[in-house]
Amino acid sequence: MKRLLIIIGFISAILAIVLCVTPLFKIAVFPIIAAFLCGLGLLFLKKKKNIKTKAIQYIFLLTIISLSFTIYKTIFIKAEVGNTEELDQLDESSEEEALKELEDIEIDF
Amino acid sequence: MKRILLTITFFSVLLINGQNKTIPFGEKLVFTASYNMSGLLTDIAQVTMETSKVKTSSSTLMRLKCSAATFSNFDSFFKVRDLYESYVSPTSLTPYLYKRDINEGGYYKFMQYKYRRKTKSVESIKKKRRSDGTIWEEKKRLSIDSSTKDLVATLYTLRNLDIHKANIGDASSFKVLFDNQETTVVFKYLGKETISSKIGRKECYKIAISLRGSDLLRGNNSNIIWLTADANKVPLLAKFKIPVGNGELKIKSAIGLKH
Repeated sequence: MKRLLIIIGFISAILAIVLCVTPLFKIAVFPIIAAFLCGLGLLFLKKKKNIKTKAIQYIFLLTIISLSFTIYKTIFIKAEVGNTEELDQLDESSEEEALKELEDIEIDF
Repeated sequence: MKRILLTITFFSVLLINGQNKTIPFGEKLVFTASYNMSGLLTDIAQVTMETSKVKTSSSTLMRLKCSAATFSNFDSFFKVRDLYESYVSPTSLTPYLYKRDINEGGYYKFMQYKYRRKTKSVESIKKKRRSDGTIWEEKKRLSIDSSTKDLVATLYTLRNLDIHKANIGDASSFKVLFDNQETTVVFKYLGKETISSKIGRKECYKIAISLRGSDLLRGNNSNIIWLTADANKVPLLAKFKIPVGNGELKIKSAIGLKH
């Protein structure tokens, strides 16, 4: 049980760290919750059995780092459209070409 | 005499119904597209719908433009730069030229339809990028129904329908040409709902969209669009369910509205 919680806790915490630096940072919430619950479970077990606290500390440390990143990105990073220069150029050239194409079409309304 | 009067009345009703009463030149609607990932909505792109005036040597047309661009943080993962255009009659929204230029994460495709209304046909050009970077082209002549429109023109036509006259459960179908195939799109009126959005809290018409004979849109009444229950019929919110997941389109701003 102890080993299982440590393994799941570490995997979740590392996954949370990886996800929180990507644009998909919002789904980092799920591994954060999983890692946090594993950490709590290990704390509970620590009271009953003698477990090294290093693993628990690392799991909580990684969880806190990923949670801070996720909260920071949710609050401060605003979604903005990147470089649309290419699209603007395409828009202009496409309209020019369309005008030529339209001359070839019989329009009656 | 009675028959002639009746025929005139019938055709004038058709003409009035078919006339554009909603879409002006210079209208700009901006939307935020979100993708649902495990129940969490993540904003991924901005979608813009614009109208403008286009003059040819013989006529004035309306250009309906829809563009989509991913947000900068997604550009390095999956960059999308899509452009959809339809050149339509400003009075009846009948399309004469349709262009689709999509660039999605390295995948490139171009489609063009030149409508030949008199012969009920379309000259189609399809271009795709091969894996070695070269472009292949395919030209086709397709027979279409007299009422067939493209995707963009159909979206604008939906806004031009007399929804206030519809009863709950009423449906209207339109023939849409997409990827060289004629598909029937069905719009079903589900009633009214009040929606909160960035342009205010508004009463909306709730309309379900489904495709006949295609599995592009999934689920029964899962693809819904909310149009404001006023003369502008602005799309405030759209929820869609496609094979790769589900998402939402939310309005961000609306300028240049007719009413």
